Amino acid sequence: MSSIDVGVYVSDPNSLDSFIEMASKIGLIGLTTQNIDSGPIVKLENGLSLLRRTDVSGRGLNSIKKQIANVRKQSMIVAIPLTTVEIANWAAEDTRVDLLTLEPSREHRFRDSTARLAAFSGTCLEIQFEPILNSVGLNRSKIIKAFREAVKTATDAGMSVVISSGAKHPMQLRSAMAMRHIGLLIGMTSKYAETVVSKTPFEILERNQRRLSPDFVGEGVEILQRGGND
Amino acid sequence: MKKSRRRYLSFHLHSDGPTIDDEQQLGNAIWTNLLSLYGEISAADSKLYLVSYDCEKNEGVLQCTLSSLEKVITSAVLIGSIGKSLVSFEPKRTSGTIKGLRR
Repeated sequence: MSSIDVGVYVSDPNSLDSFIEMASKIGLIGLTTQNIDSGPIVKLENGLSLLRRTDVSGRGLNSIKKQIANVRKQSMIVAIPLTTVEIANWAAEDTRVDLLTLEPSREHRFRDSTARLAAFSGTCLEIQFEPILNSVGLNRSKIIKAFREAVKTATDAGMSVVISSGAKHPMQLRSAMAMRHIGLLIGMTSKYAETVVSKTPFEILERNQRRLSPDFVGEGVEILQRGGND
Repeated sequence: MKKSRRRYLSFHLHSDGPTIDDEQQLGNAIWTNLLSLYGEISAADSKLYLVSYDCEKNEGVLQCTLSSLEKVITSAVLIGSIGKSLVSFEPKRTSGTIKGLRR
């Protein structure tokens, strides 16, 4: 089983090599970073793909709307943190947004209505497990509760879920098998957890590669052959 | 009394600091997480046992009951640090026999 970690945060460009080394060791075939300059996707010699991820956040909806048009064509993954209902519902409906990131520490609840809108547009709910690694006892229990409730809401509405690490350090990365077990912990069935880890990230990647192609015009409209001058 | 079926799990422990040379420390970390996540009864029923651990290769084998295998793996992958070292537990293979792990 192989996977792509779509939620890695490499804050220091110098530490990128250690993330790449760790990802290769545990069998990941792709990871995201904010610090690549040479396009939305870079394929390395060892077979690993580096994907550019952009987290769009702002004071209000207008600020996010202004940013998203600029970042979409330059990023393989566009994520928006789940904050107010207004932002969450807009992001869920907008096909340019790939992921709605759940932040368990925040007060904002993930609503059924948001999940239904996202199910229709193909936006996925992103669960980052890094907070579970860094907490114990009651705090961890609260985080797991928030994740389990969100996963239940998403799956009931038919919205896709994706599990990522949210790693800020290479040792916070986990293998595909490990992520599948974290899926079980947050209320997924074994088969669904496997899909979430080993299929959904690839589907997002494939969809975005198609969208970023110069032949893509709009959803369902593609240039198959360009006409000549004669 | 019906004998519970055992499962063996091979794993690799990645670490950023000094290597974990005390296998009891690793065993305790998994036990503590299992106890915290699933409670005393699940921890007791798991019959968790660290069969072997190679400090140089950072590889080892865990034994537990078949019914608790998923819980044991989940508990182990959620270990973030042991002592002062950040760690990442990578489950490799599961089998009903130790010999099966080596195939």
